[in-house]
Amino acid sequence: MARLVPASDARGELFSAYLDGQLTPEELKVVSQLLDGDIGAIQEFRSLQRTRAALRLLPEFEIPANLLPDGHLGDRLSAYLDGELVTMEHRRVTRHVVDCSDCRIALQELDRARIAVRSLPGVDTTMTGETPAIAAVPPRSHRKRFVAGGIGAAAAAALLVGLVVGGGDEPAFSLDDLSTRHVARASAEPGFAVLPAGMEIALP
Amino acid sequence: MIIRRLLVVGGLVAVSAVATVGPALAEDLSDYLDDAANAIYSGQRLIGTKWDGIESVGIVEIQHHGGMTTVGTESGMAMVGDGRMHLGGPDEAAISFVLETRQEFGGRYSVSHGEATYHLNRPAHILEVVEDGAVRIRMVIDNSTSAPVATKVFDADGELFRYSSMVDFTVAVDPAMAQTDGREYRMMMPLGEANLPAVVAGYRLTDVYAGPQNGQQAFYTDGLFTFSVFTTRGRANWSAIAEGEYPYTTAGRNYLRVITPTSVWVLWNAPATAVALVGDLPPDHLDEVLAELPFPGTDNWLRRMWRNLFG
Amino acid sequence: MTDDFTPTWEDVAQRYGRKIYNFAYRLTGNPDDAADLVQEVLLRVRKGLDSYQPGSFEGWLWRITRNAFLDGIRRKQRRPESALPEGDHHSLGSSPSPDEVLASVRLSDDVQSSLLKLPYDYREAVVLCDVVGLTYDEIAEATDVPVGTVRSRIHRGRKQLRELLTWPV
Repeated sequence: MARLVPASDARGELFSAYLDGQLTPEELKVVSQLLDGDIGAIQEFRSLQRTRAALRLLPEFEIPANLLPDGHLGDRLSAYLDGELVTMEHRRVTRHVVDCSDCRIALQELDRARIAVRSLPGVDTTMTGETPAIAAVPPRSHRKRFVAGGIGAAAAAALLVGLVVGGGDEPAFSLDDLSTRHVARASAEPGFAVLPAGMEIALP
Repeated sequence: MIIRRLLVVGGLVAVSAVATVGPALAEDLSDYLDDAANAIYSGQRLIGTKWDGIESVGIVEIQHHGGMTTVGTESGMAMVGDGRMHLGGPDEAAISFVLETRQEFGGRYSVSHGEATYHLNRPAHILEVVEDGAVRIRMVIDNSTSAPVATKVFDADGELFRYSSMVDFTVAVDPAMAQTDGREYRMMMPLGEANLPAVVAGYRLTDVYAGPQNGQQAFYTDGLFTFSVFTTRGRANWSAIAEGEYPYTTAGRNYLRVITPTSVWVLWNAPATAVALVGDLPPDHLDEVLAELPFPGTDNWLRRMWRNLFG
Repeated sequence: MTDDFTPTWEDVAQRYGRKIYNFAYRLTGNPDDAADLVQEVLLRVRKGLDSYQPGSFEGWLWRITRNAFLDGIRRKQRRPESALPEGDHHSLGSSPSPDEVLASVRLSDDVQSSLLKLPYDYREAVVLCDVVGLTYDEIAEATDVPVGTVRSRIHRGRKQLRELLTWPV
């Protein structure tokens, strides 16, 4: 980003540093001389002084309580699993879960309980778009390996939660799903800029 | 047999000595990678992989802007970068990875600068990534944008393994592509512990996430190449899941392998665990990695009993 | 924080959380980004405490904070200038008179929006000095530049800020 380099303002820098208490004794003498009877210098000094004061008087906010160590998740775990948290909150909960084994265990137990309930006969199992689903293996002839449009709705829903519960004896993977997850993660790495990414070509 | 479109790509890189002052060359690979990540360009990129006599080629539209890449083919598009990806339109999946650590660049590779050259009539220069004294990657870098306009990845014998080349190049992107989309990304959930080794054949496990089928995704990198290992309990019917897979044998062990223009998938079942490896690593690295991951095999009751009886 | 003393990460959260939050808030104008930054810094502190060598703890902490902030910037897509929150509705301490509240809200909105217009390195230097309260040496250590550069960035930042502020200074 091109930026004009301002002409050096040695006098102003001394004034700023003076206000911050960062001058050597020699520099202090220089500042006194500069301010001695020079109206322009005094005005500049006062102006800097007021600007600095305006910055220092900015209110200091309280940190939101949930960021402090005692902020466990409690009832937000359910909302997290239901995909009801908006992105920022979802992100914060995810970060907390990384760190807090208590909440992680609680999350896993809660998730297991939800699955158990959903598999009871007669229970309404209509899900929102963002709850886990097992990726079905699509029939061979219709399978596309390209990332966009090639992921079935079930796999897409699975991706959305990032936590698919299911599996069992014969896990039904979707190669599109694996490729998407890997490429997305790899895109955070420096090598991604030069090694061509895993964008597969659809079969005709 | 997988048929891909095979394009004639002769004459893409004309090497000539140019006696002008070159661009400021990156001090090391990580500097260059930073520049490449921020480059702005668009065009068409040809990509291919050659492995054991199998060649898989394709061509994609690329828009590269500020760390994000938009990739399109006739089937649709995806936008990826910075640990996020979203597919197609606003209703399609969008995922995002939280990175816990910032990895320091690995010491496995060093960089050597080669001669000035041209690509698509634009001044460029060669940059070689060297591993153990041999050239692993040869890149043609566009001088003005630092974009990697051509790349060749070699296996341990110096044979070409993967290549890519911009066949059309513009220093601009479609402004619509560069818009922030305000989309909500779903975070992939990081896990505390992995069930795989922390270091595998020079690759380091950097993070683990909840993976598909109630399993895990373990992500490995050596500072340049990367792969993910997906594991879950059970045994997957990989032949039914994969298409165009080939049997692959290394050191007497049998796997299934899928080769695409940009990556390699290796699929197998270890005892009671389905495993899939997805990545862009070269063949010799892959063999070393497979030697340190769980081996394919069954773990039936007879074998267990045998082991219990006879050790 | 004296040398040779290694705090627990709960200590860090309690003692520094507020400063870190305000550092990020003043740099971005965005409370959500600020909260994210606190989370990220505490995570990195927690991981780093194992290998932390007792020494200048604050220098170490602010380097982590700054790196986490810059990593976050790189990760986010470029977005238009963040909207300010409606007034400063966080807690302000003792309750001022309504006139004072109005004046200070207007002033601080003005300062905040002007801050966001400064080039990043000036903005960061000014925030570290006037919001976080670090010395020039501490800022030099956190940002890995010489003290002379810190001094000139702070001054240029304040000068530009003064030009941007709409009330007569």
